[in-house]
Amino acid sequence: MFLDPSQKISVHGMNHAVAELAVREAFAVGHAGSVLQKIIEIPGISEGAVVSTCNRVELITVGVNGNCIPDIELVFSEISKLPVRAFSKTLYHLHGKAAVSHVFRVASGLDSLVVGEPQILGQLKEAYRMAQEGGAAKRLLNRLLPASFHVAKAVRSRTKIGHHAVSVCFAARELAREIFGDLSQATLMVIGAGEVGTLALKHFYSAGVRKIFLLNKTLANAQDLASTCGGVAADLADLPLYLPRADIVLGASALPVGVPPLVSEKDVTVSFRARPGKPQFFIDLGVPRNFSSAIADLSDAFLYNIDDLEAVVQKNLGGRILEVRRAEFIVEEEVDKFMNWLEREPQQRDIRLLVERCEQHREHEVRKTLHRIRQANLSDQQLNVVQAALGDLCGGLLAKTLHQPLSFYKSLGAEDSQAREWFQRCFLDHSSILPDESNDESSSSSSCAVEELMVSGGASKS
Amino acid sequence: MEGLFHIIPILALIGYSCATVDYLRVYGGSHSLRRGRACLWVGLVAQVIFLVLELLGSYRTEPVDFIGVDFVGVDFVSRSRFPISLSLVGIVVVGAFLLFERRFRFSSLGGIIAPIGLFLFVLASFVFHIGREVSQAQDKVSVLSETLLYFHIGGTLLANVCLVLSFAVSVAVILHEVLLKRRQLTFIQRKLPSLFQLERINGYLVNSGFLLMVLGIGVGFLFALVSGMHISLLDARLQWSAATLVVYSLLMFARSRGWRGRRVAWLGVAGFVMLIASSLTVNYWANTFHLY
Repeated sequence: MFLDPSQKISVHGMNHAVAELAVREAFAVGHAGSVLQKIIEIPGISEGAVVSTCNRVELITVGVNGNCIPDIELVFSEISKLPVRAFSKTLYHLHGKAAVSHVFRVASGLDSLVVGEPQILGQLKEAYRMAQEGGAAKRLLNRLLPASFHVAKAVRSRTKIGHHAVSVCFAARELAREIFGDLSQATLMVIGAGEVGTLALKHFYSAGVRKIFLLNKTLANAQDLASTCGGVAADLADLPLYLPRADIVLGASALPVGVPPLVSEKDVTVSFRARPGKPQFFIDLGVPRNFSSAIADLSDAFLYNIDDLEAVVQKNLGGRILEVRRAEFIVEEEVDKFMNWLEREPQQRDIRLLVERCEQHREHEVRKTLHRIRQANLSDQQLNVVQAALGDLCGGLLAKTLHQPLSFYKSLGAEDSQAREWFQRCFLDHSSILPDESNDESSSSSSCAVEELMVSGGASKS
Repeated sequence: MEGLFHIIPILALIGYSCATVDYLRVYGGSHSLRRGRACLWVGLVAQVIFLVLELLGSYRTEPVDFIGVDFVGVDFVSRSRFPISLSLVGIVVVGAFLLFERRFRFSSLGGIIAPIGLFLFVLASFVFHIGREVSQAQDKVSVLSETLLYFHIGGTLLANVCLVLSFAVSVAVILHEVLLKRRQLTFIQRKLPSLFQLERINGYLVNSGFLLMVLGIGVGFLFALVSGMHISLLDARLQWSAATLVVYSLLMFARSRGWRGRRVAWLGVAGFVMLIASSLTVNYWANTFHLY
């Protein structure tokens, strides 16, 4: 029976909005290949992709819906080693237009924990690559996922959703750029080689900072971190020595409560004597604070602590929310375009199949007739002329005969299921109403030209 | 011809006004500078045409006596050329910005340059041209070092252009730094070049402007010496120029001592105020042997 094409695409899974990290952790997919194999083996499912990130685990499938949810839940159960009842209420199952919209929103970063973050697009591309390698991506996924990448690109280029820092370290980097411009010429001093210091260092390193001093209480830790970025490691006791040489001073040391700040206003005043006319940017990521707040009163010093950076981030996030509306509008437009294509797709496929069938018949009849004509001992040139004339004759006859029914069929629209059934019974064998997908793919490129020839009017050949 | 004298300045006014609004809107988050740039070009071209028409309108074929020398051509003598001087400064300031904004990526400074262009144009166009009598009778001189005079005028004009641009950059520095000190990161700052780049540009402008000013004034003294003019140190123009030079000398000294950022920028603003104040005072309230 004819299937409703808009119900073929589905998304099953969970994300940060419906499940906490502790729950999602259990579903992290280590090796997508085995999961893909399990999905494809489910009866009724012909295509699949696995998206597994720290914020979501989703299976994108193409096939018959409704019947396969229990099987999908079993797949999740195998991934997590948890019984289905432990998580079935957490899973969402989206079908048709909702599924397409979800995929487009995920690719555009609209469904991310930090709206507009760009990493999800790379993760989605990786999922697509795995699906292609596993043979689980066929006609529809080969259309859906590349379309989602295109949508993501459109959203990023036409809105400012990806602009401006939305993390403290990004905000610090942005501010440093506002002061120094090209960060490759700036010198960075990181105080504290712990997790925060390492993360901040990574951000500045990726921004082009190459002159780096790393100060830590334990010299060995500073040396380890310095070796990863080509920086200079030093003991914390040498801070006054290095302070005048740094343009950006980043404090990420975990000071015990009650201990005075590592850098005071007096230290900075002394440092400025050694670097007249050069500003210094102090970023205090430590709690308790690493730098004295009086530093901010000095005219050539800019001091931002973690609260100030958070305020910048919140402002940027607020700006992103406005861009979200514009992005949603773009996604909506693209979803409508995709659904239009999807609805017309089966009709187009039927026409393509018919045209291929006609082409095969034409070639067969021409060969058969030519075989009889060869008995007339015509020259090669004459045979070529006859062959061409026969081909044109058959093509013209078929084009003229089919032109009206094909035009009429297309005018009926994709939603007329009765028309489709009639068309398939009249022109296509019942057994080949749903041919293999692989056949579809290999013949798609050659049949396009044939379809053009036939539908646009083999009449031109006559 | 008379109609052109009305239409063209109005066109220039509209161009500069629209450019000012568009460039300022960029600070509010608007993306495109194309319209603003186009409007600024319209204002600039209209102002240039207007200036040319003015000069042609005052062209004389009969010689005009100036310090015993017969001048033919553009009449710089019987009418104050302060408005022309202002126009020229405005034209060069706006023209330099339009030529270099893309090269040096400081399009966002248009929000400061466009209002300055508008201000200078309005000042030049709508202030009355007042006649000026030469305040001192001069003896005839046999040799006039015209070249020295032109270098004096050209040098001081270019100096004014550099210092006006420096004022614009100083305003940007002050704005940028004040907002950073307040721990804010706004649209305005995102559109402006970095603080480091602004200070570098300001340094070039101040150094060039100061040098040209010193040279221009020096050449002026040389011209007076060669032409045998009697210079009174009580002359208003000399006094105000000296005061302006003092302010900019302070600025140069401060920079050499490592001052930067807002402190130096405020000195730049003070210097610009002195420039405007000296021009207005000299041309409308004081006596001077200078034409403007």
